[in-house]
Amino acid sequence: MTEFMRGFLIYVGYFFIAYLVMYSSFLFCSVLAGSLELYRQKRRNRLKNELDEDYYVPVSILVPAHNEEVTVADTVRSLLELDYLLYEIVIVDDGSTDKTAEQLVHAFDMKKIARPIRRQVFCQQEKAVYEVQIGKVLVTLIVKKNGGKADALNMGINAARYPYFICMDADSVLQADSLKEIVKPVLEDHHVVACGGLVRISNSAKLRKGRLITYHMPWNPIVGMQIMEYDRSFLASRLMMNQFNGNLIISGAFGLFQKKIVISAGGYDASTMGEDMELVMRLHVFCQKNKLPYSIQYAPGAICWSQAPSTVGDLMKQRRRWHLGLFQSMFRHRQMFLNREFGMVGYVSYFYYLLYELLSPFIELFGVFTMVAAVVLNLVHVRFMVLFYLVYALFGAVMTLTAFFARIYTHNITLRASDAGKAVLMCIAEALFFRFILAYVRITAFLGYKKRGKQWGSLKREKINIG
Amino acid sequence: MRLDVQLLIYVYMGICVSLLLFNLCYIWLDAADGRRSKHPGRSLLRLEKKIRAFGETGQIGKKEHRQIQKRLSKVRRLERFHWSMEKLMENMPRETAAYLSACEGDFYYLAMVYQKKDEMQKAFLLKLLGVYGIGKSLHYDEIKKMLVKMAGSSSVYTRENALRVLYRSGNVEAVARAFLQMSKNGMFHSGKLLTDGLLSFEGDKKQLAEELWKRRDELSVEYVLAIMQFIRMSQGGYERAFLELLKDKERNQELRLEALRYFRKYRYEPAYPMLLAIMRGWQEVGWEYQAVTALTLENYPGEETEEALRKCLSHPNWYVRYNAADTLAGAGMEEARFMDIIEGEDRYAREILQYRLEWGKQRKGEK
Repeated sequence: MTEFMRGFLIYVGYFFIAYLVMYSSFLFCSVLAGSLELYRQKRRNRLKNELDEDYYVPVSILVPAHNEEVTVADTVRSLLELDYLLYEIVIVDDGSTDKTAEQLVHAFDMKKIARPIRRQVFCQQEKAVYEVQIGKVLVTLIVKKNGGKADALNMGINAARYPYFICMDADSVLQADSLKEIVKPVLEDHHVVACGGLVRISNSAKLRKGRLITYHMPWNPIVGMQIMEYDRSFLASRLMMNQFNGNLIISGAFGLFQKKIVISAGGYDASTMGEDMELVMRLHVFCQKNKLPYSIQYAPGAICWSQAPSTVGDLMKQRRRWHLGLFQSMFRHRQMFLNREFGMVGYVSYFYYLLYELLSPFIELFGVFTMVAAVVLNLVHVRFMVLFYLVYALFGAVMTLTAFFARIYTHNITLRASDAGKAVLMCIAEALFFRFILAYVRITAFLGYKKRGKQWGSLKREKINIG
Repeated sequence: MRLDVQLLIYVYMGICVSLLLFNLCYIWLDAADGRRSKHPGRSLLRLEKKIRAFGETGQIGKKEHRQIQKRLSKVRRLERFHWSMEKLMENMPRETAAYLSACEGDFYYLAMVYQKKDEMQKAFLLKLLGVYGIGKSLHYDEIKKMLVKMAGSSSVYTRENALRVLYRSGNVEAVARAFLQMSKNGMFHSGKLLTDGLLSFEGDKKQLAEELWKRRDELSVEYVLAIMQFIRMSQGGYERAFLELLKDKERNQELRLEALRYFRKYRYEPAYPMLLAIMRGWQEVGWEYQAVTALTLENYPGEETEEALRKCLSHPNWYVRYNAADTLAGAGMEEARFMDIIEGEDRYAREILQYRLEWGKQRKGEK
């Protein structure tokens, strides 16, 4: 028995070495590719390689809202300040139990109108429609029966007048030039069916008229660690996957989609919690199956400021939803896994998300159990193990710092020395502790899975600092 | 095995630290650049002196021309030059513009130099030609040829910036050749960019439209569509040609739809029977044609139009219904005239018309 365990643990050891080497290689390649891409982008900006005239693609901005009375009016106000020629705003109040709709009607003097809405994708029935023209922008509010975020977005798609739509969260603020930036890939390549923007955490930023006024690293470690994590995932892995049209996620907080293709693909799936990821995966499948040339791009210059949870409880709630959404999306589109038809998307993107996002908490848990067994059997070289762990954590921290500083210089952000110091501390804390909190959340995400179904992930909202 | 893994991680860390150092150095250099930009550098003072001297003599010496050509062949120096020029354009715009105009030949030389560089540098130089207003008197054949060639580049920025210079030149033949080049190379260039670009053409737009329209058979559909949009937005005079195109069922749908949009802006009586035929479904066409025609008919008021639009309120396609309602509601008729529909049994027709009428009233109230 002992011999069997010994043999088993040795193979487990090999597995973990391969697992970690693969992960660190991926992380390294993605940070490298991301940094190079950002460097190229910076050079391109410096050399004025940009379409800076007043070109535009008409865009409908969809704002699904559920119990957002604190932030929704400010969000719409900030959207009205966008530096863009032709767009409309469609707010969908998804059965709020607070005064979300009243706030909007009062703030913008909206008028009730008997507008028929063409159903192209399924969604719950509307109860009332309000409209108002503010300057050049038509603002529409649709009050509907509760059906979840995806259902609200589907209603927005049905009501949208323009060929492209933006999905965003009601607690987010788009930077003034964000629409100009996010449509650029569409102007450059007509095969672009979706484009993701860069989501940045607004908790410690001050904005005025959609422009960043001040920015600093927060003292709250929960927020700080999320900033580091966002930078790494957005600027590293997503930029790398962008190189081979392999992005599987466009954040629900800010993304541009071609309406026609989304409708053809069936709209958002209201039965999943990760409707943003599921839609992107479905677009991959839909375009591949129908042999449509397509491209899903990422525009790091298009910035959306979003609130991050500032307490452990809210963070856990949010990450549970994300992890369940990830599981549902990946399970639904499992056909992509190592499928030649999908090329790099199946071989690299899906594989990465499966092994290092979805299954990683379970693999890590398994690692802890085998480590205990190995200690019992006296198979562990403790000094080596501790050293290995520290080196590995340091490696992760250095990667995160690289991504962080890469963003700092490409976005021309002036950082104080204290902020740089905080960033270093947050990186180390993220590598040493944050991942364990996340691993715990991910493992326990499936508890009560059925009960949470189509609920909105309600987090505590604060007023947005838009000056 | 253990040592190997450890070694691998150390190697990665070494590379990461290098990346980190690179980023820190870059931030530091960038900050230094920023500090420099706050103080007028030597380059700015030197240029200012030169511009003042040029203001007095009205001439640039051969040696100076050679210097400009040599110095600005390096992109870093060109960047600095541009930075200084931006400042000088703010402070002494007239003199700076005159100086730049006198340097036109140098920029053509630079264009030849930069066409051998990478796409980003090429696009930068072309951008500056546009910003400095160079190209207004594009009389060197070689330069024209080069710009046309650059318009066929794989980089959208190079293409667009080369086109901008050509539009500014007002040279019809060069723009037409650039379009042919892009179409021949199978380049996608957004229709919006093409149409807006053509509208910014600084020469004879009528002549440009004629030349491009003449060559339409050599161009791919996207380019012809952009030309038709340009014609619609800038001038009339293509009624007969567009009606012919509209009648030709073999032609591309997008082009025929664009012809319909043209008739919305430019009323053309001989097209009216065709428009009515489309609306009444006598022409075997898709709903797209009926949807566009429903809007086009706003320029053809009359009983027949009203009747055709009323019928379309019950069309199975939503867009046709919506556009028909929009045109009817915008025709300025009394609401009472539509009571038969509002009190009628066709729910779709009723709802859409009521919505557009109500919307019209709200807009009037807002005004």
